[in-house]
Amino acid sequence: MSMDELSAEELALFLSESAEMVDTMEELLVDLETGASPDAVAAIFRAAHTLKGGAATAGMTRMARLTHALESLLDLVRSGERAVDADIVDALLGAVDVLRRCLAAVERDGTDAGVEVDSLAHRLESLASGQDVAAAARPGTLAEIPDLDHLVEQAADNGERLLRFDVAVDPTAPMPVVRLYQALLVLQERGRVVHTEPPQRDIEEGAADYAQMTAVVATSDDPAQIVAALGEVSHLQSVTWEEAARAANPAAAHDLPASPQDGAGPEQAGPGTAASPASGATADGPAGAQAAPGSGAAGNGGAGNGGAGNGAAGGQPAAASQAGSMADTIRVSVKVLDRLMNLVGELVIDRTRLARLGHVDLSTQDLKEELELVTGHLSRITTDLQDTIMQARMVPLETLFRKFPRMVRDLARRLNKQVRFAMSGEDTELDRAVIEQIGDPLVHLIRNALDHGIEPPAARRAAGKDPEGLVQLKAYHQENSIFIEVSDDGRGIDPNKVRQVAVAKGLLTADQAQKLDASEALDLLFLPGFTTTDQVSDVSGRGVGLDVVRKNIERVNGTVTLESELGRGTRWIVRLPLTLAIVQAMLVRVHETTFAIPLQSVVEILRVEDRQVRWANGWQMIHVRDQVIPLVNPGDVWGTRFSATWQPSQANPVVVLQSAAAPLALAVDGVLGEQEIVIKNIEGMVGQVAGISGASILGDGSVALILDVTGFTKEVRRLGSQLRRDDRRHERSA
Amino acid sequence: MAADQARAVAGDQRQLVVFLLAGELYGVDIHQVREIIRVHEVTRVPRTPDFVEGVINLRGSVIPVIDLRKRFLMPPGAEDADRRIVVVEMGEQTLGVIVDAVSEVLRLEGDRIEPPSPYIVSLDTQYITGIARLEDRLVILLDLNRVLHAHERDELDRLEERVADVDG
Repeated sequence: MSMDELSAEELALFLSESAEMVDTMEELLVDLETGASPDAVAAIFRAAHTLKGGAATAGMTRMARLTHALESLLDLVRSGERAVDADIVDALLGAVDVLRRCLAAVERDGTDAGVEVDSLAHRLESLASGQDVAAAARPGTLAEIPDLDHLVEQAADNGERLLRFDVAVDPTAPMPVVRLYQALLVLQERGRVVHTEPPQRDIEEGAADYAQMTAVVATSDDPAQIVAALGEVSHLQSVTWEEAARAANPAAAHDLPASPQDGAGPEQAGPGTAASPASGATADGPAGAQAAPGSGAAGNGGAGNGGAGNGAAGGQPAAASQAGSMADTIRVSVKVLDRLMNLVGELVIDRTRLARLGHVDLSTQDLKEELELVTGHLSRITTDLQDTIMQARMVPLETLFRKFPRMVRDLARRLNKQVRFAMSGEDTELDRAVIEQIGDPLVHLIRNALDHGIEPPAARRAAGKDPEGLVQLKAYHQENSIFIEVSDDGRGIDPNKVRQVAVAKGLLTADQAQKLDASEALDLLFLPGFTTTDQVSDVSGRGVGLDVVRKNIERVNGTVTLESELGRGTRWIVRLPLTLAIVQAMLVRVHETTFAIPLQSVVEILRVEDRQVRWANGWQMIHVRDQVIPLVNPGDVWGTRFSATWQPSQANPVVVLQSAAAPLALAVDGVLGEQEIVIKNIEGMVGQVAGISGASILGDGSVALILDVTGFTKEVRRLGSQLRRDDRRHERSA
Repeated sequence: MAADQARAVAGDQRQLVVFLLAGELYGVDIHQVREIIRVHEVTRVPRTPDFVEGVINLRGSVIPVIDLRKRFLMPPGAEDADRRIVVVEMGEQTLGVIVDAVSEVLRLEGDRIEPPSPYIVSLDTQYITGIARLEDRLVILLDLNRVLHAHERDELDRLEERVADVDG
């Protein structure tokens, strides 16, 4: 039976069932290694067997070939003839990745014929036979290149060297072959491409879904520069080169971290790649102020390889993330759809009622009553509609979290660390736009925990700790927010070291650094260009990172903070609003402008009289119960056009705000009340004002500005320290 | 834009939206103009350059509005009923531009357009692509891209200042 005989439904069924099997296999494989489930081997074997049967029936020969090899190896493991070790798990996980690639090819082209499975199948077979010949499985060795000796000679005559480049593209990237073509163009710019595998024409024409390429180039350029130039191509997973003349010696210079075998998952990609599929999707996120470029190859920066240091270009964390890739489709329960349908039906009734009003003669009084009835009904319906739609947009965090165990496992193995990974709260729901935005930051924080947090086993033992480190990912719902915590029981972060580094980097003076308390010092980590590790690791990036993490989280109105105890571990706390597009807000009037303050930042509304205001440290302060809170007039920050008028000897309205740092009281002219507001971007240039996160259109058509409490507080603190500096200067001069 | 100019020189016909600003006539290419609306309530935005009047609600989108008089450092005009917001589109950016009045849509041959001369107009010639000479009046052809890009440069400068402040 060939695939031509499969109907569209059958194909869809095959795809979804197979994808489920592959997911199951991956989860079980990670469990297998940790020994979490004793029946894992049998379950994986069953999954592989089912997959094989399905693939054969559907006529997917490549998948069938690979699953057959998989099954043979698993059979040996099941019978105990072959013990499970990390190499085997690596190979099996590699197979999972290639199977995913096959499924992607089937979904796109209806066939898996373009996917290369032979080298991995060989590797599985050789593992089964007990001879691990990973090296032999490398595709296209140079010996196969015709006239190699001649080419080497010719290159030498021209004063060039003959170099072999192996380029691998993130197979989950859209159209990997296009990236290969871009890489090929780069190589052609730098020299003569004398041979490629697959053939150059096939790459140019995108003949098949290639994700790897070997190219032999005669060039006089420095290979490191060529690798750096290749780093500009997005979605590249690894680039290695070697001198073709020394082909017999595979010990080559690796400039981008190369995966040990070809089937490695994208999370093994080094910092040189910044595949960020999620960023394309921010266009529909109202807070995605940077969505404007809108190119498919978004996030193409992060190519900080070979010391080129251009990593920040794309504005995405330099971490290739599988986590970020979410489909453009969403599963919605039929119940939700039915409710939407009913509500829309109700809307139609209201429309008819309204239309009728234009045609019948009614007294003004009757008309008024009828209108009130209809608008009352309408407002109920629209509220329900809004709720239901928001509900439909909610996605459990599980969709994001599910990728992490595998990522942690592979990373721990690469770093030679022992790590136990625990997750909780996967069923917590978040707006899908938020989930898309936080994928990359979470990947970054988890990588960080493994790379910088957890110590090597020997160091842990020496410190009297369990050699196995613990990394926890925890999600929970509290008040009007979702919290996600990434914590480790590693070495912790020394605030003093952070202070030193910040001073050494010229981010602030030694004097300023000393004044910061421990938590403020740790907060310095989020400054652009900050990194505490002396040598740059290829796991957590090259100093590109935490600032981008914070920026990405703040883009969805979230905050990120950290707590750390030296020797005990570090905890990163991400706080996210429940919904992105719609927030509950307090509307206030300041001078001529209406501001909307997200309700989750509002602690309370007070009425304050002159006598309650004190001056301290250059600030106006008010006493609220046992707390002293600085009182700020927006005009102090933004100029007189945004000044609230303070009525002497009267009770003036004051909004107490809670930000990540400390509470702050904001003087306003009036409080208009609570309202749900839809967040809009301010198009273009005025969108980046400190303290303003966006705008919203009110019922009367006017525009309210949304206060960004975190940004505003920061601005206030900045001004405050400036004021104090000025004061001191005055004092000295006086 | 460059292509437009090339065509203009070649003698093609061009359509301009002509508006009044401080007693002089200005024209912008009709392709850049999305619509012309009355001036209604503008919400001020803090920390923006003086000439940014604020933002308005344009059928559900929030777009910035600039005052062209202020942009060109002209004295403020009377806030009369003739004032209009010309909504222009430049690439991704939609922007409202406040002018004293919109007078007409003008169709003219490309060869009626002369290169800008600092002796004829008071405005900085960097914003001008040419001057159209009609029987009894002159229309100054504005390059809105440059008006805006000069502004973006300002914006960048401002940002840099801010960064410098934070670092300092």
